[in-house]
Amino acid sequence: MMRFRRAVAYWLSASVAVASLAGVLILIGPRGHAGRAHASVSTAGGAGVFELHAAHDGASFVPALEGKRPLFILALGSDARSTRVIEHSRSDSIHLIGINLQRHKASILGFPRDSWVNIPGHGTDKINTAMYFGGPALTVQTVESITGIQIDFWMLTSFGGLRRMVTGIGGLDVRVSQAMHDQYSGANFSKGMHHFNGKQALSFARDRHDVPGGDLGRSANQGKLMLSALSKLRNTFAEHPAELLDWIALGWNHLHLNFDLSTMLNLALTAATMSPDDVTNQVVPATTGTVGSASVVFISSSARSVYADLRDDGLIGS
Amino acid sequence: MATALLALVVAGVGVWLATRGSSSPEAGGPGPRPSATTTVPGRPLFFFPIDLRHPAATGKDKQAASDDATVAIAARLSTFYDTVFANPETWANGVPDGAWSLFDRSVADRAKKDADAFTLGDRATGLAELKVKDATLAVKVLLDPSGQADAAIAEVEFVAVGTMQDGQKIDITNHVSFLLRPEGGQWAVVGYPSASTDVQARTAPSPSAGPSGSATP
Repeated sequence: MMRFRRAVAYWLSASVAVASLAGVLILIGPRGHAGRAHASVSTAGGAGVFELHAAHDGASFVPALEGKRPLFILALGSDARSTRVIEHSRSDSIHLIGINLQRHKASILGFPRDSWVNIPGHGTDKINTAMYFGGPALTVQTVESITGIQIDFWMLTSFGGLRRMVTGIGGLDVRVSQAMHDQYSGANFSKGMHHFNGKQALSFARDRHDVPGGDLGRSANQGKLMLSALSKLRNTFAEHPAELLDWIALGWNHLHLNFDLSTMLNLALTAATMSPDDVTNQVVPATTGTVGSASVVFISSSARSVYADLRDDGLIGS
Repeated sequence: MATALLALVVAGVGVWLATRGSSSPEAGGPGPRPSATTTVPGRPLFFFPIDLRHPAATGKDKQAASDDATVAIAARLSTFYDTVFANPETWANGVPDGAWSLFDRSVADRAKKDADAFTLGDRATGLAELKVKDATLAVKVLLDPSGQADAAIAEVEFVAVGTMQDGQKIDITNHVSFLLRPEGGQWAVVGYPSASTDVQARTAPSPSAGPSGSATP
């Protein structure tokens, strides 16, 4: 059951609790032990028990998730302005995150919002309309039907939520690969490294007019923001572990989620010890076109192999 | 008869004097009487000063719940540090197994293997005295939407000077970040992002060192 939450849509953070989504029992913890702080993830096909694994040298032990099967999270961004219902507006940001818990690596696969796809029960339309028609659940169903991947969790934020979360963590450092000057999104950045506040991060995430590839390039930039956040989370946790809890609280208050706080904590611990170098970011192979007068994105047939790769171990290309 | 009686009185006074010295509290102030751990009678127990922080709240911001959690965690960690660092019984006989009850059973074995990061371990052999120079504990508590404490991270800095039986001074520096969750009604450590205990023997100054500033060839 979905609950109203506000938190960070783009972090690989959350705590896996005993929850269910499409029949998946989620647990975390060391193999063979029981206890409140522990849970394990298992699917209908077999059990994957999440274990604790040690981080860097010296004495260090962070209860990150481990398991035999990959974990999949759908991260969504709503285009709702303040007067609209976030969960029934269009999802202008759609990213499927696969996490290989054994190898402690992840992949982000972006779906441009104008992707022309079948929306179960609603015919063919832009993928971002799935949330308008049926909330995050229908978006999950749509992505599952496209990819053949069973999604464990979803998380959703809004324009305001993203702004507040980025501001709350002190901003993000992002490399802008090409100058951006767009009146629609407000993006106004020179090429090179920038420290984005919340408003700037949102502009960066929204600009498609002067980004190579348009909607595809924008999706790639959104993934870039996620990687920047992951890097900052990792560095923050290494220096000031207690600040992880502030991140979790901030995320919790600005996200809608289908999982609880314990889940969020355990996923945050997993993310906090994951190197951004071990996370790939790409956009589904596609081309731009039109349907009638509408600008759309046609997902290429080669995407099937990408889905299969991701479905296999949560990773693309490794 | 009078001589024998005097001898008994003298012997009794002697016994009284001998036992009086070992039961008096050490200088530095009285502490709570030791209870669960075997310890030197009258030894003041170590306790962290509490640093109450604003909680990381996901819903109701109940400072009281955060404070309660902080106090409980401080008590747990203080007992641990008192046992593993300040208790002469530990210096002589090693860390008692019960000390590791601070850790959730899921990580206790791992923590024991990392014992040198949390305790003096074998480095306590021959220790005669330990004085705590600085001890800080900062606790951040995560409150769930109902205002209940869900998790906490406690960061410890513990600095002490030890004196070995041969007079050698050692500097002890301990830094640990503990991740705790409430388990069965009390807080337990379920992880430790970083932990280290460094022991350095002090080097005696060279007896041939001349007065500072002297540069006469």
